[in-house]
Amino acid sequence: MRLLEVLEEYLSVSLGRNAYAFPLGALAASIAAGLFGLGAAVSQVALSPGQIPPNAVSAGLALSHLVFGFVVMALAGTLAGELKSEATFHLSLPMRKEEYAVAWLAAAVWVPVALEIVAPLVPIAVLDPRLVTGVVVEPLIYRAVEDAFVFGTILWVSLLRRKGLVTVYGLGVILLLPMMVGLSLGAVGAFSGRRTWVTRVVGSALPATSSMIGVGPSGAWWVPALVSGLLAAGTQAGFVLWIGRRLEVT
Amino acid sequence: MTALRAAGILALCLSVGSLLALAAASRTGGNSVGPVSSRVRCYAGGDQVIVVASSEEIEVREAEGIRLFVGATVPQAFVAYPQPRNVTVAYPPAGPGAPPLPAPPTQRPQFSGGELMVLRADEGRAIGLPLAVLSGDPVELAQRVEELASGRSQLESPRWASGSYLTGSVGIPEAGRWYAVVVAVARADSPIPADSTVDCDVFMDLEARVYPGPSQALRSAYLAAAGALLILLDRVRSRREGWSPPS
Repeated sequence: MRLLEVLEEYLSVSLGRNAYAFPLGALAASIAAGLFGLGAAVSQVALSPGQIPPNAVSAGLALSHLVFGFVVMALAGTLAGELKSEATFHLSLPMRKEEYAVAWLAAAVWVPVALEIVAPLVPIAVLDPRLVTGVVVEPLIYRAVEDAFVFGTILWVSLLRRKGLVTVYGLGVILLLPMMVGLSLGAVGAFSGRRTWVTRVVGSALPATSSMIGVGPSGAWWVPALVSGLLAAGTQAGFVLWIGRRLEVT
Repeated sequence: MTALRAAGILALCLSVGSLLALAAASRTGGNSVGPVSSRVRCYAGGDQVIVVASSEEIEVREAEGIRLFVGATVPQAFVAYPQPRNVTVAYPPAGPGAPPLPAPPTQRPQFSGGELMVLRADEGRAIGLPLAVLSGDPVELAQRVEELASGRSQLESPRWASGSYLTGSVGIPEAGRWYAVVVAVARADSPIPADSTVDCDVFMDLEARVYPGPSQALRSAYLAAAGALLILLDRVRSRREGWSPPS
């Protein structure tokens, strides 16, 4: 309970105007997802009510990922600036360094990931709440675990205390990652159906991105989710440990 | 900004976003569900061709906020007249280089109008649909269908291809089983001989459109009200925390 209160208090101070980025991001994501995903959803519903095809959710998720990717990038930039100049003030509050790290994880990873999954589903729920139970869950899980990993790495870059680097890295992983993954998979012949260890590694680490470019992970759906989830957990645990033990406030 | 207030604003934004998304999706046109198989027959008489088509039974299931439409496209009919008597073929053409048979004269009648109607399956079955289009009098069938139709729409030619084909769609009024029937009339330049070959076709497909109604508006209003309530609670809480009892 104390942790929740500390998190709320800290976030209300540190995020400031950035806090509006979440509802605005959710607004943009729900509009975009509704515009590009509802068509596929309604045409499927007409055939078999209660089943929403993956493409109806994937288009919305991709746009939602884009919107919240920029929100996370902005927040990570704020953290970089804070670590450079104002962290002394925040860390002088009755708050442990680990709580400070968890607060940032909540603000820049957990809440954005939760919202990017929820925002595309809201227009479907408003249309007919029964439809939500028919949504295929694999794309949602893939997107959640992959972004928990990718957004975590953006937070890691903010530890370098340089906003410019955060921006360059953030733009790279949000905008260019599908292209880079596509090029690397194309180089090993994944698009012609060849499965190599590269396709398996990329498909497991980045299941949502590889599915988006048409070279989805093969085998049991939960394996890539587990691998990407472990990567996300490792990245976030590392972030908390690094802030708790190695962060020196000057 | 407190978590309560942020959650309230979030709910308001999601409510507005959903409404905007539904409104925009309802204006983007139909989303193809798939083709509907149909039976077609064309009747030539005098200088006109009547195209009559009936779909197989269409089953529409109950889904909120979605309306189904039957779309129909009637391509131009093709009339191949019988071989003129003065053309004789001395030998059957065979092998490469052999002169081809002279093609019979053809004509493509121009459409003068058409209608797409939907009627309940039990009423359609009562008048013999869909097989009724293959036999019997097309004019009489068209009249019966017009009497029973629950929904209808005029088929129209696009301006840039006036008369060359017809297209249109009609909404299916409610969930259930339905037939869609097309009746179109095309006029030829000259009377069509009785032994002519007339080819015609009708393509029907089912499309779904987002059709937001009161229940969607109500759900969106619930979400907005929840958001407003959270913001109100946050204001009450902040006032209480700011207020201290007089000593």
